[in-house]
Amino acid sequence: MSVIGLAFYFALGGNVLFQWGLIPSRRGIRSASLPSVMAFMVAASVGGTVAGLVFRYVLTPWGLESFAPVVLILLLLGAGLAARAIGAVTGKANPLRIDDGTLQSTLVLYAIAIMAGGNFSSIWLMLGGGASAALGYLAATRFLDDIMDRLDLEPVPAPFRGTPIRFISTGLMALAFAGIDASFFVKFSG
Amino acid sequence: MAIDDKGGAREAWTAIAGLAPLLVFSNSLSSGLVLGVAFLVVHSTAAALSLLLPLRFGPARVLGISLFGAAVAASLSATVLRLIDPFLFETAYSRLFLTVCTVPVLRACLLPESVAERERSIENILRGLGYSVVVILAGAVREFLAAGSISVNSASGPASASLLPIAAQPAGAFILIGLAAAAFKAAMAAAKGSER
Repeated sequence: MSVIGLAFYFALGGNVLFQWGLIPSRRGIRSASLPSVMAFMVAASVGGTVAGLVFRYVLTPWGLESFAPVVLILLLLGAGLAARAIGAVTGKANPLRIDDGTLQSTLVLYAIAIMAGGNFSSIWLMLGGGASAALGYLAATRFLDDIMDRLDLEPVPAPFRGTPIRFISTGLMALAFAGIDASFFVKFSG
Repeated sequence: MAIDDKGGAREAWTAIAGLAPLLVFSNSLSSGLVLGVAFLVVHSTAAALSLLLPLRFGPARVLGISLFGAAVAASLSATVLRLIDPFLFETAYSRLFLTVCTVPVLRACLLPESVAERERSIENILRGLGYSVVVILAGAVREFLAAGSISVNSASGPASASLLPIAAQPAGAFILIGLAAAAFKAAMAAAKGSER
């Protein structure tokens, strides 16, 4: 698969929001700063690559694919401990704060590690796959937020307001993205 | 440690959104059963560990240990599935692994902060059973809508879709969840209206 095909795949048909149902529980992508977006992409890229290498060179040869969650969680906890240690050294250590956004980010990083890490053989494709998947998720989240903002101006029937219309909008977006992906993916997949 | 929580509506939304990854993949009774049972095992393990670990461990350590326990539970579930049905394992393993980091499981891993919350943790374990039933039911309903019949045979699955094929796709799952949420909301509003 070419790099363009990879980006195309994770932006549309392989988008983790639409294919894996990782809908954020609240709007807020607009308030995310560029450094935090970049950090998220780097974390997804590195996480996907490390998970892919461990899966391919450690778990698969020993027939231990079922134990991938244990390895992924250990990697996730290790990354969390490293971040806290760096924060402590630089004097920017924060108390452990867990909200919906943190839980969702953890789920997305974990899903990308499973998805991007298990699908590619080349390290570069794993790195690119993780970053593309993160970018595709953030872009889809932004589109969904924009649609919800626009729908706030429309007379949506009361039972559909809020959660129901958000899910239905996501479904229609997933349909559109899958259609574009099915139509053009072969041309870009290389 | 602090948890952002603004009432029942927010709680209900978090539960639905948190289950969405499993509801989207649960497109047949067999996949629903696999995910529902695996979720029940993983969620119960996480909730039980966070409840039973001593308070002196602190929030961060309880979260880490509970999450690790949930991952071990997911791995054991996957191993059992692999022994029972290798074909189903190949199709479902990535989503089965995802159960560890679904929002309800992550919330179950958090240390109950007060005695009252600790007493409510038993409810948390029971809630996992309810979530599992929802995942299994979603699989059965989507398979029926997609194929016009329900079968526990994983080999037949939703491939023979003929009635409403979109119900087996992720897009169909989102739309069905949205319609179900709207129907629930309308029913709740009607019930409140009849009370007055």
